[in-house]
Amino acid sequence: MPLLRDTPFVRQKPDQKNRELLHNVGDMSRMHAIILVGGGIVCAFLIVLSMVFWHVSSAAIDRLSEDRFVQEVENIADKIQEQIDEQVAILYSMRSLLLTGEEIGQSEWNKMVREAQIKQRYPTLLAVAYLENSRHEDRETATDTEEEQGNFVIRYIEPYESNQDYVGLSIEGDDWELDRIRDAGELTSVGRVRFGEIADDYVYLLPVFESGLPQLQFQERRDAHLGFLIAVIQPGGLLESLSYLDEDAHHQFSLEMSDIEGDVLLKREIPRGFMSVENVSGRLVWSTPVRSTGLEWTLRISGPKYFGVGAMEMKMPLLILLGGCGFSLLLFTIVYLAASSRMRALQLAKHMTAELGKFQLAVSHASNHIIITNTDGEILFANIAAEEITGYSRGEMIGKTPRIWGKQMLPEFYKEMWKVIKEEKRPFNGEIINQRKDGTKYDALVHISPIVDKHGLLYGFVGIEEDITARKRLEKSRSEFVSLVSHQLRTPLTAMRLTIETLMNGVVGPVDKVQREMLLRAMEYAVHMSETIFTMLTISHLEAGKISVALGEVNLCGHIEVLSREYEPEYGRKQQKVSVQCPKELSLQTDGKLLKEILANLISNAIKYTPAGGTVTIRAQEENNQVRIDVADSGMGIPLDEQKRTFQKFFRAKNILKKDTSGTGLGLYLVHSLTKLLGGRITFVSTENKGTTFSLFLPITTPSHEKDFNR
Amino acid sequence: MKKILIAEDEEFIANLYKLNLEEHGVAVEVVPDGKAAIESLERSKPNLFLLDLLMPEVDGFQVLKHIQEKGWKFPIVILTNLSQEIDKTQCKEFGAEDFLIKSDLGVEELWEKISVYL
Repeated sequence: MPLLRDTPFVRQKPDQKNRELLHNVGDMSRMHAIILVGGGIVCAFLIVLSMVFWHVSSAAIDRLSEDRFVQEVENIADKIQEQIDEQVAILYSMRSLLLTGEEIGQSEWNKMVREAQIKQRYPTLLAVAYLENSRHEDRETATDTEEEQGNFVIRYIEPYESNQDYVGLSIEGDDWELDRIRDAGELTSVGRVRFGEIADDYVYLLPVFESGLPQLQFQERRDAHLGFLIAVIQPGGLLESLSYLDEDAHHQFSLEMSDIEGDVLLKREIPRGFMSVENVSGRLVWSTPVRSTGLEWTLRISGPKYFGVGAMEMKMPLLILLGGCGFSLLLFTIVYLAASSRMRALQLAKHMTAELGKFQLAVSHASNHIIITNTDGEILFANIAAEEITGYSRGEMIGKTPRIWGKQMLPEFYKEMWKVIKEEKRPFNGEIINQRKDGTKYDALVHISPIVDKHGLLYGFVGIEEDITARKRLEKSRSEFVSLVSHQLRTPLTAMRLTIETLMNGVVGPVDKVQREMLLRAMEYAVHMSETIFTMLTISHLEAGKISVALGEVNLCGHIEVLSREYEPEYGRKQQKVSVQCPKELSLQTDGKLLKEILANLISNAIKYTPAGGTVTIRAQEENNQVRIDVADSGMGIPLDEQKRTFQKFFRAKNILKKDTSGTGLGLYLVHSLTKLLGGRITFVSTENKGTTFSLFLPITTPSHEKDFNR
Repeated sequence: MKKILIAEDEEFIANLYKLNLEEHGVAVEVVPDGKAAIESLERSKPNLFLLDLLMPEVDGFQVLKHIQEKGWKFPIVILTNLSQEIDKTQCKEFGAEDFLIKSDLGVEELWEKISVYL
């Protein structure tokens, strides 16, 4: 007990250990919770942050959309204005043509207009006309009033085909404030007027003077006034003719143009069928003025909320939000998993450490000397037994090599050992002599295993030594005893046997019948003693594991017959009948000498315990791929209650002990042991006072692995 | 006449062997130890050498070793009372033909076993 008290196994109670473990796990749970809460807060923050980003980017997209929309509207308005200006500007070039001085007829006019390709270039320019001052030719005859009022006639018009009815049409100056325009001398619009059948069109007038440019003086202008060039423009059509607004336009919007009174001149939807301007909920609406030569229209455009914003741009805020949330959740999951797996790993590590601790304790307290070294043999670990066996403390051993207690064998031994463990990386087993710290030597059985990983890299060695000094001593004394018995008992016996035989041979003189009979009996005793010594020695060798099996082809019948002849003097004297039944060709693979020993014991027992006149039967046969040999006697048998012990060492049946005290009780024990050695088995059937039959079963061919049995 | 050399330290036993074996018409020389055995072998080679193992000074194993080193060729039968397996194995390695136990054999049985080498 004092020894045990020091071991940590006993010192620490199991429940105390468990509490400690639980306590540690509790610590870990708290840490786990902290990590989770922290992770959750960070994730929530990230989600809020991504919502803010979502909001900001949504607003940015709205602004972007608006900016693009306004830009678009201004752009369209500019285009319209540009078109109008360009169309009206035609009047200037026509005026310069008119003033070349040459007389112009309708056909020249038409030709002139056509050459300017007005119709092709300006579809919204409905007509260009020249309004001639009808009094021009007879100005001298006209009254002042008439002259004041003015009387104008449409002289030329283009396109002529659709408007020829207007040619010659007289227009009163008051209607269009013609006098005011003449006096102003500049391009002026008279606004929306009815011009014949054409309604809602805008008329621009450019006064034409004799000298080309308007005179400086008011009166001079009136005098030089020839007429007006007129352009009839349908501004609404401008929208139609704007090549910019084709139907394939990427942008969706609807637009309308209205005049200063708010009358809608035109509506247009891009693409056709797109929601009209009136439906303004959730959409962008923008109005902008279009100005030209004193006139003003209003262009109003309505478009979708995300005007000119790509599908990706539009989805961006949502993507930011979803991405942010997704990332946060992912982060949280990772933190959670990491925390959980870390906790699991900690628990596992704790568990493993505990297991390793136990393992280390077990190794430390093992009764064998165990050391672990690096590849150079320097000791990294030594257990308690190593201290006890070598006498060195662990402090003295660590860092040194096992040479401190070794070096007792020949150098070749260590060379071979290192070759096996370091070069061949195989375990080394062997018996070795070492020296303790106090100088005494001891025998040890060593097992050194290289520690090699799966790639064949050597990490070090594990050496296990078992102190077998005591065992060796015992073995040696046993061996010496056996030698002593062999020699000291056998030598006198040899001398006796040889003497008897020499006398019997008559070499030293004749012997009479009585003397010869006496010598024969003496010889029998000597032979018996020799057999007993042989049996004892055989058992001794057997128990020491020093009997080897030499297999060979054995003819069974020959063996049995030779044996039975050897016992002839004995059973002859007892007038017993010994019958041998054996098929001649029966043979088996076994050790002939050991088989002979088994059979000799069985046969001599049978003869010995069968009364005079009895029979002994020896029967051999092949049975189930085995050889079966029965040795049956008609002796006193083995009592039923003792049959279990029959093959035990020194067994002698009670009924035999009463009559005969000369047996050793070793014969059947030897038979049983040798039979096992040969891979066979032995059984018997016995009835008291009737006889015993021993049945020996041996394999015909001994399995190869048993050949080296016991070597 | 065939010659048998017997190395046996027990003089009485050696003489009994000599007495009985000479009845079979062979010449028998007896030497009391290994040293004498080697001296005898230096002089002349027998037809058969019966060798005991346990002898004073130079024992049977040393004699066997000497014979092996010299390369002498003649049948050698060990006749001893040692019966350890290791002894038998060692003798076989040194070239002994047979390993017989003195106390287990009568002279006639011995003759039966050794006459095959003559």
